[in-house]
Amino acid sequence: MDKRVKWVLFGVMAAFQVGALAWMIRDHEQVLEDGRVYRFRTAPIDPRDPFRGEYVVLNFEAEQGRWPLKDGEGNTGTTQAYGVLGLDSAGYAVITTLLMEGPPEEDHLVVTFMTWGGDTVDRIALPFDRYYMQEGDGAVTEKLLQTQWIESEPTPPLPAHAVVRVLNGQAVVEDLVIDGRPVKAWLEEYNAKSAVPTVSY
Amino acid sequence: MRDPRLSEALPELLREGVLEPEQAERIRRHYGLDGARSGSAMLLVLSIIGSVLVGLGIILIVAHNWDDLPRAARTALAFVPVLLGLSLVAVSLFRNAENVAWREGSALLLASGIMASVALISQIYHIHGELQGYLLFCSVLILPLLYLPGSIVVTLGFLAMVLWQGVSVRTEHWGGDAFPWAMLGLLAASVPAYLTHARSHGQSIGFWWHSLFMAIGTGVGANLFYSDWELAHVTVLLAMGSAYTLVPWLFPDPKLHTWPWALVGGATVLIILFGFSFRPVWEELLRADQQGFKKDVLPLSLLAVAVLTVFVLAHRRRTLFERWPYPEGLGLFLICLGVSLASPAWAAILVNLSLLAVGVVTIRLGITTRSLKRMNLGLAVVSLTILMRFFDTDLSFVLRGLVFIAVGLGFLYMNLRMLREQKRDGQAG
Repeated sequence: MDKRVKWVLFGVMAAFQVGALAWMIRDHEQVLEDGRVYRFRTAPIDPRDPFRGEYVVLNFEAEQGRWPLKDGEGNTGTTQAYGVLGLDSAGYAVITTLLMEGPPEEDHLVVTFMTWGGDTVDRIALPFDRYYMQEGDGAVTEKLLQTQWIESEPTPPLPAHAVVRVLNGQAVVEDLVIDGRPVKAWLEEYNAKSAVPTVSY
Repeated sequence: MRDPRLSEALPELLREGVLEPEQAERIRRHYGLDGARSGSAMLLVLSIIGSVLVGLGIILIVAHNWDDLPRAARTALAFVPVLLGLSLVAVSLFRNAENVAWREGSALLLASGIMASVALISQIYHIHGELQGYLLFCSVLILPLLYLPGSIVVTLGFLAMVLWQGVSVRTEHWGGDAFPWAMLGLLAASVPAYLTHARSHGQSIGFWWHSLFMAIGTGVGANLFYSDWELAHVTVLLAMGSAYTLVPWLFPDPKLHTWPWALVGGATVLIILFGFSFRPVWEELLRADQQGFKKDVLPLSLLAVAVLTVFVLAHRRRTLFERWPYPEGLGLFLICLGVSLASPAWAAILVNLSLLAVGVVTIRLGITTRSLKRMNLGLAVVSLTILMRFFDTDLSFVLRGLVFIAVGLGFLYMNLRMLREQKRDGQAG
């Protein structure tokens, strides 16, 4: 192969690979900069991905509800729809309506759901479901959010929500907040406590 | 062809005066045993192992997720593995174009770098999605490396990743109506790389592995487009297996390493035939309503046409039962299928007889070609067919014991006979 042709092909390949990564970053940065903030109530649990490391799965309250469908919209199988965003009385995000055609002018997300020909949907999947964490932090976060037993009395788990930026139907998870504090602050406090050596007599 | 025992034996034969230096040199040249080539082969292996370890190391370090670093720093860091890999590929392309070790090592590092970078960006922005989305994105970015610089190890990794992606789309997606179209496109995009590799290094060990991965990839991939699994699907799978065993006749160069296609195809044919040697398997599949064919008429028809094309193309170059009997296995199965409509029990008996015939033909081919491997494969087919009948017949332990002894003695006798004949041939030569 001619050296000049090889250079051109190499240039195209490098531009494609670096460009794809840059585009991926730009796309998400724009949502983080310009997107509107929504808070989604959640209860994280801790799995692991072989390539991307540890994360907590965000199990959102907003994914459950009761959304009516029009005739012919409840096809069997997986369906995509535009979920229009709204706020409940406490200021947390909810999906108010499912629209089959769009995109709507209001803030929205592309959600998926399954039906078997019924006229309502009671569970949807939001287009974000995980929060990546530093190795070891996933299990600690899950523990923080479990029911604590103090003198045989259960205390309810701490409330948690994800801060999500939404722009033109695209969403990026910005933070995970537990009992009003970012998860990072909780983890710093937890790690500082764990680092203190215990003295045994 | 390269035999390490030969390279070790040559100096000894020279020392003992069995060979003249010129003769030894001619043998070395014939088998490609010169020192420089052995050295470069070792360098290639070391470069591949090193690159795999460095690449996996980068991915594992990235998987730690350095949460303490600010977002901007992590975003900038995301490009480092790719830029590092690209620089090494550039050096390999423009400074060491002929050096295979450089080509394989740099391409492997770039592929690992791409996977690490995508993982890092996924962590920074908490990008959702199953593993399949990640594998798909990485596969698309790695695809150019199959052609530039054209690394065989990256190609094998690519094929494995694409297949993993396809299988997970088909098996994990809720609803079960998602088909791995992206996998199909990526597999198709890798075909020109396979053909180029066949032309340039068709007799290399690398191409042997490439053939194996392509055979498994296309074979498993093709079966991911069904909605149901009934008799028609099994028949087409067996037809595909038979067609795979004809691949060596599709390429004009007999030295080309296309044997893995026959290996995968032959194994598929044998496994299906062994399954259908049990009467309940026929009864179970015939009991189904056979409506699956209607649902999957398109993929089944396309595969049937592809199989037919292979049979027509190979028909001109191959005589009946040449080299192995697996292509004929399809005909035998179709006859059994026809018989099964009248009596599943007779169909099972016919499959057993077919297996015995396949085994005997393979033994005969093994003996005539003096191939121990082939003869033992034939013996294994015959023995397994007999031994599997223990599961559906009520034979006494004594009789079972006697059959085991007979089969064992048969193996020993045939192998000893073959070894004796090989020795006699050697002495006569």
